[in-house]
Amino acid sequence: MKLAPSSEGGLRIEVEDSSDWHLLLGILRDAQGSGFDLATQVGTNMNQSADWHDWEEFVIPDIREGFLAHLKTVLITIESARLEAAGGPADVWITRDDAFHWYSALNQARLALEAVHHFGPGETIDPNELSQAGLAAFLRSRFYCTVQSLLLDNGLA
Amino acid sequence: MADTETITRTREDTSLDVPWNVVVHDDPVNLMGYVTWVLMKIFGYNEQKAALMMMQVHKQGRSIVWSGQREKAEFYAQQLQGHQLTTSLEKAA
Repeated sequence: MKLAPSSEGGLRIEVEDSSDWHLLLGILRDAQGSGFDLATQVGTNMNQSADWHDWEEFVIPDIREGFLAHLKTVLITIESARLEAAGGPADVWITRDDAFHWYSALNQARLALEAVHHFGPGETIDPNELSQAGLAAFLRSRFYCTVQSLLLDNGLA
Repeated sequence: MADTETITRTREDTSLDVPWNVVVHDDPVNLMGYVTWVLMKIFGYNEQKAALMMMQVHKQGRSIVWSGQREKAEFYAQQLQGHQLTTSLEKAA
């Protein structure tokens, strides 16, 4: 897989084989797979407020809906490209308009992985001390982080 | 005429409205550049101000990013949470 900024502002992901498609679809699996509820998590410190129940009832569902919409954008983009290429090599384009949705989906995946594995700041991790599943999750998280950094420079800015 | 009489008393209690702080909390995932970008986008802060607040979140674990009227504070908290930043509200001391 290769990543490159596109001339219109955004990114081009050059998918080379089925393992690359699997890795890209892993964004969605990681974001939703563990049952982690990010919409509640980001407001967790609000529960000290007397109005927490209102927040839980009226605000969190909206936030959750927004996160799901971001995942849907990513799913449609990946699956459209994958089906068109019959699972073979193809380019996946992240347009400037979709850059935030992609960033959000990658962030959801990383936050969900962090909730399960508790990696902490990346530089403190010794990969040799991780289990096989933990190492795979760590490497996916690093990959997602790399794409996010490129999006910050080439899509969100 | 009734034997008992109901007396209604009213008491006025007014006080100045206390501003509310919008607080962003640190987490191990959000990139520093992203936090800066979100603060610029939502509050319209310049890059220097947003980066200072981001560094405060990073080093001290939290930063008050805005203070003011409660309804507006709630709106900003929702916006920040929608950008996946852990956010809370508190009454200003």
